[in-house]
This record gives sequence, structure tokens and C-alpha cells, in this order.
Amino acid sequence: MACGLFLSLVGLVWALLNHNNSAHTPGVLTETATWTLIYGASKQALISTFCSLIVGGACARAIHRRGRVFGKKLILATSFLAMVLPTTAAAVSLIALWGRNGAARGFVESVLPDGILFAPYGLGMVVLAHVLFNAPIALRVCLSALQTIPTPYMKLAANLGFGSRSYWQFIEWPAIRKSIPALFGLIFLLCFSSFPLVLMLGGGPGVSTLEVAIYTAIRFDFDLAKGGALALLQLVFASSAIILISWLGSLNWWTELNQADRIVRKDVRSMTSRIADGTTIFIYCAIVVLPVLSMVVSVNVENSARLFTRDVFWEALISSVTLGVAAAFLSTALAFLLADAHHKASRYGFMAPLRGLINISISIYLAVPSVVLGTSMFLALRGTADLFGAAFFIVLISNTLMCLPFASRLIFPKYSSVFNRADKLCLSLNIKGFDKFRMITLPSMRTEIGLSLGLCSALAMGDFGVIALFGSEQFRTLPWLLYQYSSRYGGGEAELLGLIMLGLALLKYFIFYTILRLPEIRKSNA
Amino acid sequence: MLEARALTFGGGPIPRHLINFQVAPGQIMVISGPSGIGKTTLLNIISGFHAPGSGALLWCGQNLLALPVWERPISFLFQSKNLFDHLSCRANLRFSFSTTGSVSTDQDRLIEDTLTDLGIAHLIDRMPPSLSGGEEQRIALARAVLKRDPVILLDEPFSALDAKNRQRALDFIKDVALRHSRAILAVSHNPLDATALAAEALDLSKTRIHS
Repeated sequence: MACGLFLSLVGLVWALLNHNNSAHTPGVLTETATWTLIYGASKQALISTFCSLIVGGACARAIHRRGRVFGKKLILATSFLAMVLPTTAAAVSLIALWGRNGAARGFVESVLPDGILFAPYGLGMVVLAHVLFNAPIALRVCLSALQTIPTPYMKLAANLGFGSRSYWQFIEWPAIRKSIPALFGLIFLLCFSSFPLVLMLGGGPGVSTLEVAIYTAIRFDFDLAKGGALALLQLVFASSAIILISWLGSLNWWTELNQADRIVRKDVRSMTSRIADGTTIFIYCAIVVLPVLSMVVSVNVENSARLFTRDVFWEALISSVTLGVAAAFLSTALAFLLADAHHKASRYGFMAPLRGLINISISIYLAVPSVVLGTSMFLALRGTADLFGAAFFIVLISNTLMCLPFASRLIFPKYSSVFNRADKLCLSLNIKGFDKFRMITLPSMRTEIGLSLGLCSALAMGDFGVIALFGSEQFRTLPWLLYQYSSRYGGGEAELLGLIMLGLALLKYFIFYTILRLPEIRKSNA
Repeated sequence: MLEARALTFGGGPIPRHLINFQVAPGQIMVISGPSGIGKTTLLNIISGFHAPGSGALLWCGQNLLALPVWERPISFLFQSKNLFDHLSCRANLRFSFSTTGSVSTDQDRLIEDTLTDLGIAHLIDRMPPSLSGGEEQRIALARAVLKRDPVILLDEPFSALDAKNRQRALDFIKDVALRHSRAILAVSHNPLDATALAAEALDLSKTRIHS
């Protein structure tokens, strides 16, 4: 299976290369416009990464330092929410807040002098959107790292009378610095290869990414050769970045964030630190929580309720829900099969290359942006199949592959730990096949399976990558419809649709996570 | 002199206690009792990490309970992780003088002299992960000596040591108490430790109260 995954990617790369045998790739590479685009995307990604790290990291430190903060549960919940929030919905919400007639823009412009606030479309908006999505990742990684500080260190520091600077220099920074290079690399890659946010908020060619250029080349210029060449270029960039990130270290962003007890600290007492922590948490909430809240508040149900009378909405809703659920089950099932192979391979030293192949075959799909995947499929299948007729299955396959790295990260570690203990017992009792899954795997991994299904269904439902290329009058999804509405009608219906998408993402996550954990919940209540 | 007057604590999983004791500089007191009886909780109360139910804790007539952890004249040595692993022993010892870790040449020399005096000068530039449990404990004790806190609390100082290192640790603690005139309170499971240290004994199984 790992070979299959790997070969399917090789096939897609081959499709890109094969299509470019007319020496189009060197042409694209020597164009000044391409390098201007890469320079612009790098600059945008660099600014977005720094801002995300500062906002998320500072908020993590403030929460860790305070121990118990008002609204801490909400902040930790939003750190997860941003991962399932559909990007198109977030873009619509940001426009409602910070767009030309945005509520927040109106307030800030009435307070600040003219010309200080960023433009309604352009770099400022793109950076703000990227911080909305990536500051929560930085928060999770940094808070996870801070939670690994041994309690005796904190008590020793209190006993020695450490001040804020000493805590940071000798305890907090050493704990988080190991994660920073990989975290920086990951956020940079996500911002560099961003698609829907840049498309909807960039405001034109001045702020763009390779993904947007690929989409424009294929969808509007019908220049498949250019699209393929740019996709190949993006694939090289993204793969290099993933290899570099893996080399820089692993990131821990899945651990449960605890409601840690208050730890006695000298530096939390001063007014300066209280103001600093309060301001930091406020800025984080203004950037991350406010857009989510505004999605709820800004919807004018009376004006936008006609959305429910449109057939296209119901068609898109059914397509999206089906896609999300199917991709979630497929990616989770694939993750289980690969986890089993990985676990078996880890028993024998000589099977290390197989383990490596499995890891690469999964991680590589993290490196392939959905637009690149879509372009490759488009080029590979063109002429051999009815592309738009088979759009559902193409989007399903690509969404499943894109969810696979996330599902694997949730399933692999627990699967190994469960079967490191249960393997011999299963062998001696001859428990195998479905019985093994029913009696051992499912009861031990309810939380992980629920998380994987919930997260993947939300991710797959909200993705606006491949569908941007394959969406048509015959096949629509909610993100595709939202993009159409936001650009054509620009109003109430887009906002209601964004809210519905967020609600659906949360509902799916809640249903999967809760249903699978019901037996555990019943046990703990008994 | 460190004095506890009608100090009460406990509740929940820990039994309630009423404690009275006095420990003078140069004197050692061993706090013993079975697991879960509240030995470490008592050290946490004395050091300021937990609050007692009632009573007073006095040092030279001053009630320490009103002071935060960092203002109490107390050094606390935990069961493990008494040194920051990513800093050398020298850097760890510099915290005796300054929380920023920057010290004068004279203070650096004092660190070296103290370690020589305690017979552990060879450890000064080692990194904590390369030290044995006993060596780490001695460096942490040296920091307490350098910090000039008159009271030292030791949580299970002998639990991870083999017989040879245990004897060395006993001698070291006695030496610190007597030569550097420190009041030392040590938690231990082993009732023989009080005899070996020529110390007072506080058995928490005898201080329980019923509320």
C-alpha cells in the first residue's frame, strides 16, 4: 500500500513532467514574473510566519504563566477550531470584519488617523488571515512544549526568586526553542502555499502564491503547460521544505492541552506582567476568536434565508457532507492499514527501509498542495476520462490523500503502544482479523479514531483546492459555492453559508468524537 | 530557630495533622511516616508552595507564613531535577547570588572555594545529566550553602542512592548542618536515617488528628 501511495505520487509527477516535455518548464523558470511571484509569496509567508509565531507563542506563554485564565477553555478550544475552520468561511468572515465596510474597520478607523490601517484587500488582510489559522498552531506547539517543563524546575525557580526575564531565559525558552525551527518551517510552508485565502483576500496579482498562479493559468488562461510547470516548481519547493522540516525535528501539536494548576511564580504578581499577559491574550482573541464570533453575529438571517430555497445549496451540502464523511473513513482506514504495516516492520531491524517508505509515502502528501495534486490529476486523466463527470471521485481521492498525514499522526503512536503490549496476547489467544479490531483496537483507540474521523471529515469538507479546478455546474461543494457567492453576490448569503460550514465542521467533529467515546463516557458517569 | 506552632494541615487524601517542632541552626530533623501521610506536603507548607490550615511557622520570631516562597530563608531540594539540565554546575551554582546568572569574579571564586571545601570541586564544569544522583544532590546542597539560606529542606534525599552513596550523603548532610550552621529538615521513609544523622525525629503517624 505504501508503494501504491508512493507510486501514485510518482505517477502524478510523471504526468507533470510528461506534459512539460515541450521545454515549457525552463521557460517558466526564466520568466521574471515567476521569480517576482516567488519573491512576493516568500515575503508574505515570512511576515505571516513571524506574526503567527509571536501572537501564538506569546499567548501560550501568558496562559502557561497565569495557570488559570478567564476564558482559557475557550482559547484552547479555538486553537483546535482554527484547524477545522473552512478557509473560505474564514475569508468571508474577515471581509465582514475588516473589509471595506467591515465592522471592525469602521471602529478602528474612527479611532486611528487615516492611512494607518491596512487596506481592505492585499498583504495586510492575507497576513491577518494566515495569523488566524497559524497562531493557534503556534499556541498549541508552544503550550505543549511549556507543559513539558518539569514541575521541580518551576518550584526551584520560585524558590530561587526568578523574575520574568530569568524564567524566559533559563526555563521557558529552552523548553520551546527545540520546536521553533520546525514550527517556523511548517507555518512558512503553509503560508507560502496558501490558496483560498490569498485568492479571496489578496486583491490581485500584487499578492499571490504559486497555487493562485496555477489556478489562474488552468482555470482562466487555459494554459495547461504553464500550470503544469508551476505545479512542478511548487512541488519541488514544498518537498524540499518538508524534508527540511523533518530534519529540523518533530512537532508535538496533538497532545491534549491540560488545565494546569497554578504554579507559584514571583513574576505574575507585578502590574507590568498582568498588563502584558492581558494585552497578549486580548490580541490573540481579537485575531482568532473575533472572526469566529463575528460569523455568528453578522449573519442577517432574514436577508440570507433565501439560500435555503436554492437547489444548488442543497446539492452542494449533500456533496460536501458525503465527501467529508467518505474521505474521513477512507483516510482513517488507510491510516490503520499503514499503522499495522509500520508496527510489524518495526519489529525487525532489516525492515527499516519499509518503515521509511511508509513514513515518506504519508508525509509526502503533506508537501503536495491540493491545487498541485488537482493539476497533476487533471493532466494525468485528461483525455482518458470524463474529468468533470468523475469530479466527485477525483476530489474524494485527493481529499483522502491530503487527510492521510493528519489521520496517521493520530493513529500511529497509539496503535504502536497498544500492540506493543497486546501483540503476544493476541497471538497466544488467536485473536485476529475483525475480532482483533472489535475487541482490542476499537476499545483502546476510541478517542484517536473519533478525533481522526472528526478532523478529517471537517478538513475534507472545507477544502477548496482540487474543487477549485474541478467544480462545475454538475458538481459543486459548499466551499466552491461560498467562493462563487462571495465574489458574485458579496453579501448575506456568503456569510450564512460560512456559518453553516463552520457549524457542519463542528457538528461532524462532535458527532464522531462523542459517538465513539460513548462507552467511555457511560463508564465514567456510572 | 525554625519553629512550628500548632501548625495544622491535611484533608482529602492526606490525613489531618497538628504539628509542633523546633529546629535550631546546626540541627537536623528527620520527618518520617508511611507513604501518603503528608511528608512532602509538610515541606511544601514550610517552603511556601502550599498553605496550612492554621498555626504559625516562625523563624527568629518572624511568621514565615506571611511571606511568599522566594522571600522565605529556605532552600528546598526536591527528589530530583534540582539542577537545570541544560546549564553547567557552575551556571546552576551562580543562581545562589543572582537570578540572572551573572556574578562577579569574587562570587565565582567563592563558588570554587565552597566546592573545594565540600570536596566536590571536580564537578564544577560538568553538565547535570552526566552526574550521578548523589553528585547532583551534593551540588544542589552546595548551592543552598552558597545561597546562605539558614534552613534547608530535603525531600527523600536518600531514596535513589545505593548503600555507598547513601553513607556519603549522610556524612555530607551532617557536615553542612554542623560546619555551615544550617537547620535541616529531611523527609525519609527509613526510621534508621534519624539515628544515622544523629537527628531529631518527627513521625507523622503520631501527629494525626481527627477533625
